[in-house]
Amino acid sequence: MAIVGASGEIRLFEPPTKPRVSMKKLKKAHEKAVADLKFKNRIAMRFLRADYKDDLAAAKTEKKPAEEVAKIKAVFEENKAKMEAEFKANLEALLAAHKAEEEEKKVSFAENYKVDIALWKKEPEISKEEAAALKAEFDAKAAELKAALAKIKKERKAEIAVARAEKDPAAKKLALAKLKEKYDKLIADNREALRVATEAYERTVYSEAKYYEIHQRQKNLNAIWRDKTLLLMLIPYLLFFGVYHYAPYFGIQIAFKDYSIRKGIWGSEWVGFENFTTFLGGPYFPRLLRNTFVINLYGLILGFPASPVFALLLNEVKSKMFKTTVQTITYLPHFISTVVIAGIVVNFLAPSGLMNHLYVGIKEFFTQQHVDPIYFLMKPENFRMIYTLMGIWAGFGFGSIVYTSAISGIDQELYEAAKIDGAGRWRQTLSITIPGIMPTIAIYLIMRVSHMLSVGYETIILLYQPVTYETADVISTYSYRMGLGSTSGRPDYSLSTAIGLFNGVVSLTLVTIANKISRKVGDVGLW
Amino acid sequence: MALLTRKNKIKRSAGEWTFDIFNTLLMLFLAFITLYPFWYVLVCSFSNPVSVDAGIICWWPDAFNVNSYLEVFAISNFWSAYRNTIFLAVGGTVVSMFFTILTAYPLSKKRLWGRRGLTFIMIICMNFAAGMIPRYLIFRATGVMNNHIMFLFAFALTPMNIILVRAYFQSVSDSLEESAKLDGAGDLTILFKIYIPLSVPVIMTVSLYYFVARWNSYFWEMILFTDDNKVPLQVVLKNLVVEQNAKEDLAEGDGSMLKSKQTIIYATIICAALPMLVIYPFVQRFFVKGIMIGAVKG
Repeated sequence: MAIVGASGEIRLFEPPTKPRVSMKKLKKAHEKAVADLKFKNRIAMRFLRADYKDDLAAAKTEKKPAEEVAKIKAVFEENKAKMEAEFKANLEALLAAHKAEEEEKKVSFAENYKVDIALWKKEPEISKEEAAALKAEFDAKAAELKAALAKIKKERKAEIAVARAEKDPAAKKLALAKLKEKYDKLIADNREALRVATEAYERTVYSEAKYYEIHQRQKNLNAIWRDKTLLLMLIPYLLFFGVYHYAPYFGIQIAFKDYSIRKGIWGSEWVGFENFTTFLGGPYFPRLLRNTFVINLYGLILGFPASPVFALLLNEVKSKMFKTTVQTITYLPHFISTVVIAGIVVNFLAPSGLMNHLYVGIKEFFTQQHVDPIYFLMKPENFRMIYTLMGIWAGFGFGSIVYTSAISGIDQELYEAAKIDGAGRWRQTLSITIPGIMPTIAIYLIMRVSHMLSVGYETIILLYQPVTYETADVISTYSYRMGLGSTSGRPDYSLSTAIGLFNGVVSLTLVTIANKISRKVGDVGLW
Repeated sequence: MALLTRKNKIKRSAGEWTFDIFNTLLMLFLAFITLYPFWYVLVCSFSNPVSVDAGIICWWPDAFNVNSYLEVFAISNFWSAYRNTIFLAVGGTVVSMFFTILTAYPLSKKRLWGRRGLTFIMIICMNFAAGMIPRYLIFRATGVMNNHIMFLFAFALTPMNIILVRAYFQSVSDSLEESAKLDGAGDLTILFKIYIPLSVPVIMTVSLYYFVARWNSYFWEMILFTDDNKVPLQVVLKNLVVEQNAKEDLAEGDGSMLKSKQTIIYATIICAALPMLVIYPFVQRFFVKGIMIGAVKG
């Protein structure tokens, strides 16, 4: 139970913590301890295995007889079994200890809560007569203070009138200021006295729970009044999100309507799920779903590993200046707009572009025949690879920052210990650095997988053409083309919104699931 | 960073030597393929279109000339587009930063009534957007179409940036605020006299985020500015690029239609990307810092 609020305010004791909440805290601490133990074991195992491999390699180079190799193997197996057994025993002991503690605490939490809540709700032990007497006393005191306040205010009025009559402006100002100071203090003192008296009285006659109940509301109002400037500062924020983010939520209803500009959002007719069935049952849906999924798959397999691998390789660079230079250069494309990058790609891949010059040059060199340039962006089979490579080119450097910072967060002692054991750089990377950034990789991988059904339209609409729709058209670009990007006929706002809503809901579901998993992974530290 | 400090006393084996050489070469290669396209674009923009089409440009301009630039400058709305971009980027940064600070400060105060709920308002928006059409209808209804000033307000706040500034404000010690309060300072005075001077690094970082985002974005600008004199540079470039791409589609087999268009696009690209390329070396460390804070918080 903590005291809330500073001096001069109503002090309230927070209600006792519920057993469920205390339990949650305890469980979290336990989970962390288990994860730590697992991690330590993992590292130890890695070293054991690494040593074993080292020994084997040494035996091989020294051409030792088979018996000795077998012996090395036996020793390793023995050590491994020993370590595993030890770990198992430790883990079981830890789990048992945790369980016992949880059982014990479950009871004590519940008991403590019972005691606390009883204390919290306990009515003060005073008789009715005593209470009445206290009330009378308090009322008298309050009335007295009130009268005193009225008197002070009257006096102030009179004195101010006198001061106002002063001729000399400087002296007048000074006198008024002095008066203000004097009376402000008197009034504040009076109010404080009333507050103290009230608190003393209420705390004697009310239970803690009742006191809390009576004053919580008042306390909130006080807090609002105290921070009114801060709350007023939030008005633009509320207006902005209200108008540009929440108002559009009401517009989502046109996904279930047949929107016509003339009738407006509210006036258009309801059509139920017709727009959704049109889309899901339409001829393009399988193609859109496949393209969205496959483009993401390309990104997952080719694009995702680029950043962690780059971070690991960069980490092995010894010269600090070279390293910083490479970092600075590779982050650059992140700051260049998609339009510029797409413009470069489109021109490089054009029949008279750089890529075609390279392609033609190399092919002619090897075949010694005339080769025609290729319309790379006109060939559906190329699109996904071009899109993916462009993404990698633009993103691998900047994406590596999180991994670089994860690497720099690894405990240096691990490396020291490894060096004492004679581990080389390769071994240190395998056994320390990679496990060290695994949680980061895992979280980003989970998030990446959860975006399997969303591809941004902003880049694709710059690169694709009707000829390449077959492989390039994804759900979001189709939604864009049905709505704002419509080039032929009337745009179908309702259909476009329905597609967007479908995509948004599916993505949100996936992201929520992924968030849950990553939270679990991040906390428990399975990796 | 971590491994730099550790001195490897073990003698490097032949394998490690090979790896080091290979790794250095790979890093050089990656740096090269990141930079070369920009260099190529720059060189081509100063070259003769015919040589560019013939593919003889590699390192230096062939027949150095500025004709492509002259043609770009002659595009009817080029200068107005440049002006618009500068206005949107600079004005957008000022407006966004003002409202971001105004929002982040109250939300950084633990004592604020309803803080969780108020923060949650923007967290929802981060996870679930209403979609293109509903947003478009609101933009149209609030007069954002072809109106730069309204556009700045319509895209004023980004939740991620508010969170960054808020995290920084939270790290400022409360005792400063308390002592200022004793001296009779109000919340606004405290914000402007104490917090803002102390938060210059994060304000720099977030301002740059807003600036780069405004400078580079094209999508909503393309949708909302239908008047040729209102569009920013990225939209002009986008039209050139898409036109080029579409022409290729039509002109398969007949490359003549595309001739010399390339150098114009390259010149436009340089015009559109130059400010970013110039300021980039000086500001990139701020970005990295911001990303790291974001990664820790997220």
